[in-house]
Amino acid sequence: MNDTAPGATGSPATAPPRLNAQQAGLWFIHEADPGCAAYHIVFGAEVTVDAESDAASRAGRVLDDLMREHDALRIAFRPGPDGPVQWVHDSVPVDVRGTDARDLDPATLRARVRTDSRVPFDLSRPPLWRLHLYRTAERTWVFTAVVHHAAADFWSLALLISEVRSRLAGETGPFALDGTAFAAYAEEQHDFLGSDRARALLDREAERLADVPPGLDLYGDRPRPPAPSYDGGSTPFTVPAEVTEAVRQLARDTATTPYMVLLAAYFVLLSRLSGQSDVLVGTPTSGRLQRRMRDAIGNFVNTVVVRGEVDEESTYRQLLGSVRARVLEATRAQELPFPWLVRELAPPRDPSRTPLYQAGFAWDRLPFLTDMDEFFLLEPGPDAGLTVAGAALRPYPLPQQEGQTDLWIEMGAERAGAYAGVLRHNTDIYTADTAREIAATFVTTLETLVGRPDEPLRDLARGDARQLAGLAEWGTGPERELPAARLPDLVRDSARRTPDAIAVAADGTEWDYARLLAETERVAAALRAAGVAAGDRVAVLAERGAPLVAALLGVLEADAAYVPLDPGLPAERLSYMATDSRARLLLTQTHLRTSWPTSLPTLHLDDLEAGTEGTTPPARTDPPDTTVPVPAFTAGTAAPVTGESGLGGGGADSGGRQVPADSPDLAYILYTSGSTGRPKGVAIPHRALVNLLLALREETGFGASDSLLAVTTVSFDIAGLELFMPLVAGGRVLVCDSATAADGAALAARIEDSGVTWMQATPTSWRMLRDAGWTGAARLNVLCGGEELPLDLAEFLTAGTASVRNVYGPTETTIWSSAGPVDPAAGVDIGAPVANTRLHVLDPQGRAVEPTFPGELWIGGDGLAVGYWDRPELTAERFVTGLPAAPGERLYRTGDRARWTADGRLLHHGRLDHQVKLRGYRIELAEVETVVKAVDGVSTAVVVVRDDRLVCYLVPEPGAEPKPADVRAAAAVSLPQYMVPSIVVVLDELPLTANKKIDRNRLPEPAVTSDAVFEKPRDATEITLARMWTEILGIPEVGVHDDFFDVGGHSLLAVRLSAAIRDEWDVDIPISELLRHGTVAELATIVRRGGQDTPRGPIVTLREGGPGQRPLFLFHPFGGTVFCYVELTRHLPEGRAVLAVEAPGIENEGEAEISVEAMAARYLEHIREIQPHGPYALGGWCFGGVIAYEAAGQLRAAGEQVDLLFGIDSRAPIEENIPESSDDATILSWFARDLAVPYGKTLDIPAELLRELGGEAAFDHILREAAALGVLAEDADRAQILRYFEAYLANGIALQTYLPEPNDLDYLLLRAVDEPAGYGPQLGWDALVKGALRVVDVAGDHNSVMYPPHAAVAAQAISPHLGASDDHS
Amino acid sequence: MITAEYSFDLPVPPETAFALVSDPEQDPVWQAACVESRLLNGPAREGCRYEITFALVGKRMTFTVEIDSYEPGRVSKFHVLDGPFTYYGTYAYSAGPAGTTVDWTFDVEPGDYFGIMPKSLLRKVLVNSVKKDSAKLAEKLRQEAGSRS
Repeated sequence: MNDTAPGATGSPATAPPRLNAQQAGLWFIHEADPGCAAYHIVFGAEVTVDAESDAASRAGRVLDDLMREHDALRIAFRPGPDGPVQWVHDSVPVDVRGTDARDLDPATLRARVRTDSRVPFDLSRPPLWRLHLYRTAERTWVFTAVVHHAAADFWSLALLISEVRSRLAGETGPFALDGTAFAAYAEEQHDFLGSDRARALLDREAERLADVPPGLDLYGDRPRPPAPSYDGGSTPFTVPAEVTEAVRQLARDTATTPYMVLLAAYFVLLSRLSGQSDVLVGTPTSGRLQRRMRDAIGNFVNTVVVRGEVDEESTYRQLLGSVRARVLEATRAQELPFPWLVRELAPPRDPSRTPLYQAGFAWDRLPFLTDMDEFFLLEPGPDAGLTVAGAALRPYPLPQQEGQTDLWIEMGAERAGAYAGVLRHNTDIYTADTAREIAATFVTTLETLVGRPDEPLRDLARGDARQLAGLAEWGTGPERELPAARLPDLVRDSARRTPDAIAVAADGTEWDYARLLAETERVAAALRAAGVAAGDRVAVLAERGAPLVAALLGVLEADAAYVPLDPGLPAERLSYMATDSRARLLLTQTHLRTSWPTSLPTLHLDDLEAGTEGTTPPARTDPPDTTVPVPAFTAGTAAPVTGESGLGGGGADSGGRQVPADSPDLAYILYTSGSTGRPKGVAIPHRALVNLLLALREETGFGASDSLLAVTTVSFDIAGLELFMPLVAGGRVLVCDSATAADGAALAARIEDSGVTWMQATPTSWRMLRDAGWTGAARLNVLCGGEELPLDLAEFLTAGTASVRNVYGPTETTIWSSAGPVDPAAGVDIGAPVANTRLHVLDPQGRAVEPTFPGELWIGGDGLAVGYWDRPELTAERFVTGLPAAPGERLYRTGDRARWTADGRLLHHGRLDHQVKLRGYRIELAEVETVVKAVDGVSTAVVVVRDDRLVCYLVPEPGAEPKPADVRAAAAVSLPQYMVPSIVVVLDELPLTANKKIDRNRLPEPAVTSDAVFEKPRDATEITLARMWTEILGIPEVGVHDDFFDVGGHSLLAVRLSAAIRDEWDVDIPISELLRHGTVAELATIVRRGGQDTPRGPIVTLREGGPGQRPLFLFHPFGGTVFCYVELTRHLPEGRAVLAVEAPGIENEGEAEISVEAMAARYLEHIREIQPHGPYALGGWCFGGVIAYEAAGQLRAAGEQVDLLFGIDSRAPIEENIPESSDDATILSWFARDLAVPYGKTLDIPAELLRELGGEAAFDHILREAAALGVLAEDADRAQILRYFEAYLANGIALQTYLPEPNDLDYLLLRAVDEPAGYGPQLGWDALVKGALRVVDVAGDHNSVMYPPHAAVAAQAISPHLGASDDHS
Repeated sequence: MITAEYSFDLPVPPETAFALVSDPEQDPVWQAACVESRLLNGPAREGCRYEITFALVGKRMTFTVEIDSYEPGRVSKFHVLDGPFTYYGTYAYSAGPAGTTVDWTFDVEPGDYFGIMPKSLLRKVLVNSVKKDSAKLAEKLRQEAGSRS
């Protein structure tokens, strides 16, 4: 098999014609992703030529002629100063490639053709179209034509095909092809866009597209990547002939067009797929508005955006009327090129999505070449074909233009009276299976809509019976008979079987089952003695450990329900929970008693014999327990659900226990975040708890030889599984203390040391472990739940552990309702329903939702809570019986958005309301808002989640100036730490939607504010710490006195910071220390203290680089510090690491070097540890550029390459530039001056004065003056500043004694144009540089060039020289 | 007191090296920091006094120095009689395969003459001066030897 491809070289070009805005837009996309093939227009055919036919050679001549005749076929693009420039080359050979494919089977050939058609073009090299002939038999070829859309559109391709056919047939073609009109079009467009009319159209578009949703939230199979890949797939579909006819008829009836009818159906589909009513669809227009453009070759296609509004209460006919008007509105602006429109409107950009629209609909129907209709179908008929000049042509369909948007439907073609179409999907988010399901659903939706155009949309099915068939099976968990026994009975069974086996271990204490049972019964006895009776609630406040387990079981054994209280919660919240639950008694430990004053009678776990302390338990004045099981209602009629429905009936249980007939038989009441500003209690019955424990034991196979490390706070319901499932199975539970559980490194060590076989945690906690360097444990089985499991974490966990199960469930359905093994290759789902559990994805009317559509997840079965404690209305709202999908079943409404895939996997797509899960905690944002609004000086507030942090936006009351730190402190009084906003942003007003609702989408990016005075990092340690903060917190900069937790940090980010510090300096800073010493300055002090034994090298990482990218090394300027490069680094292009070399004397006394040669040699030792061989990129500001010169010379002498050497306003080290000899007083005076420069201040202290003061007194004078000016702290570390000066002085000496020889090096000099001191136009470098000396003028003077705003200009000047970087490893 | 030490090789016999390095009149020739040197009481020998001026780290300083020991090809010692501060110096010569190894020792008591400059830095300045000067001298001697051969 031989491949041949002619060289495509152009001859010198003629004058460049202007390119149009659509072309420019495509050029920019190609520049951003040069491998993008989404804009290739492809035509394919199979050709068989008679033996005597000369069609092949004639076709070649025709193509040569066409190429020569039409400028449009010889264009290419090059980057210009203001964007792309179009060039027409005089002579370009046709790019015809040949492949002998006679040994390829059809499937392999098709794959090969597809691959070849996606080979990207180099837009700077004409021609931007090519032909490929694959010889499949002696006289048969598969033929493809591939055109880049920037050069031509589909219409142009069809014109060319028509022309080739005519010329081969020896006929005059029906068109007078125009290969030059494209230039005139671009000129006219350019003029038009500057006109008043264009401005008026733009104003209308701005109004029409105001407040568009930020994106179409299509719920995909995979998480959307940060940037689209433009990879896609195609699914052909056919609209049945009768439906096609119905479309035509409806179009006639409604004075619309088939295009509008189809587009309206597409709007309905997209609205239902996204759950959004406001839907934007891009739809291409030909752009050939003038008759003379009809025969033109080029790209004139423009996309307009149609904004649809789908109201499920309206009918399809009503929607059609609206779509008609909206299409006409959009078409009015079709002369405004889409890329230009986006630029002018500047909508909020999300780099992961295409701007404005993410779904497209094209109606392509050629008014000519009608005998070739089938050639443009993805599924042509078997008999399609025609003969041209003795050559038989058959369609060879090829998918094309895939991945431009999330979804794209192309229609217009027709076969046998039926519309044929293709659905293109982006493979970033959709699998081929889902795409097929969506295509089928579009047809079903269309069929339903045109069949019932006068019924409300909400009454019309989304899919068909086939799609509904699998739901019942997928959503029903295994049916298992539940024992009547309660949890203590199950533990007692285990104790009977293995009394000596270890049941609970914690803090070096181990209790066997016999001991646990004895302690449980002791607690129960004490409770009964204290007057606790069946149905009572007992608040349990205990440290994590074996006594806590016995306490919880003891409460259950006493037939009471426990209310777990975490000692770490605010006292106000503890009091609320105890009071709201009407706890009869507090069961606690003596040492905790003082931390939370309460009037509740108290029983001490560590002194049960003493009996209750405090007031006598109150007489039972509760309303009867029937207040707990509140009625649930059907959607229409109220149908009370009694407490018994959650109890399995009253009376005697199997153990002979007498359960009061009116008792709810509660196991526990667990409080979760509530929207009223108060947490709400969820009342869980014994049966639900037992069902969960047995179901998960079955699911996991947890056995007597297994052990589980319990890490979750008892106030989070999932702790119940950790503490009890091992006991039900006869296994072992290791109760981890809170401090270890919150510290990744410590927890990793505990997992390793303990040898546990199971652990359950939230993704956040697993991520914390990973961030702390944990690499997994081969014997560990993982349960992961409580929040979304990210794919990368799933991959990490499955690679490093024995098994991983994703588990899902709200507190109201008892810990977990679904579970399933994780296979990252298949994506992450939430598993299948656990035993005796049913999952339903329903629409707002309570009907089952077909696969691919999102709906709300409802849960039924034995796991359901009795309801919310003392909240009958809320219970009625969330626990509902009688929904259409399950008329006889009581269901809990989760508020979670979910979706069945076509193959029966259940995907979770976040919350439907403002309740969020953050780091595993469920948070009602309204609760946080309520608390913040109650803070003095706050008028209103809204709380959102941004980047895994709670962000509060507040508007102050008139005249008030609430400080963020005060607001956070006030909120922390009544909210647990995880609910306190990490960031508080004060606004003058909140953005509102057109409906005057708070527009959460338009809240500004949280600009972190701190009450601390901003001060820049002052040494390498602080620079490095500040960099870590900005990377971890995702903020542009921090001051050294900002508190980590004031600027957006939280405990888990603190774990990452701690790990980063350990990696950098090998210094362990516990999280608790971070909480106490949370500023950069404080941490730097700790790092310096902790790092004394291991002095670090002089390399400071200003920015990490990408893998395989060579770093840029920056040498310190005069003075030795490198914080001057922080601003420059921020503006250098991403990708390459930026490493700065500071003077060793800065950190360690006596280390200062006093010769440039020695400095360079020493620094190179460190540099070559990082990058052993060249080419090197070196540079520096001021003296740094001199060191770079010496270092480059030494590298060159060692045989290494230097591909970038630059100095920023560096004066050449030549005799003429050496300042007059200066004594220590003079240098001290300079030192004082330079202390102030970074702050934009001036500190001039005459050398004479310093000379007079002498030595230490002179130095102290400088410290005082600098502090008074605010450039040094009052308590600045004198020894540190003295080291700075020593380095400064050493640099001065070195510079005075460095007079190098000229060297054969290239040097890039950035000259600060505002510097008044004159050192010549090349600052003397022409005397030293024997290679190329390039001088670039940049803004600023010698000092200001490195600080805002000029540093950005300097970075811009350097950036082009950083170029591509290869792997140096 | 600061003690600075440095050893260097010169590609000449010890006697030649001694004549170049231990003769105060030659100091301005090979020491970059030495501005001038003037013998006060006859040619270099034990008991010879001379006046020498240096320009170093921005300061110009003049000393009156006396030679304490003067053994051609072996050793010379000297100390300050008068000047902004005191120093004692020694050049010791030994023959080696490459010519002569010169061991230089310099004990300085600068007081507060150099202001806030740390003594460690001053030591480096002194050593670096000798290092650079001796390297240049050695190179010059090599070139001269090369041009003669």
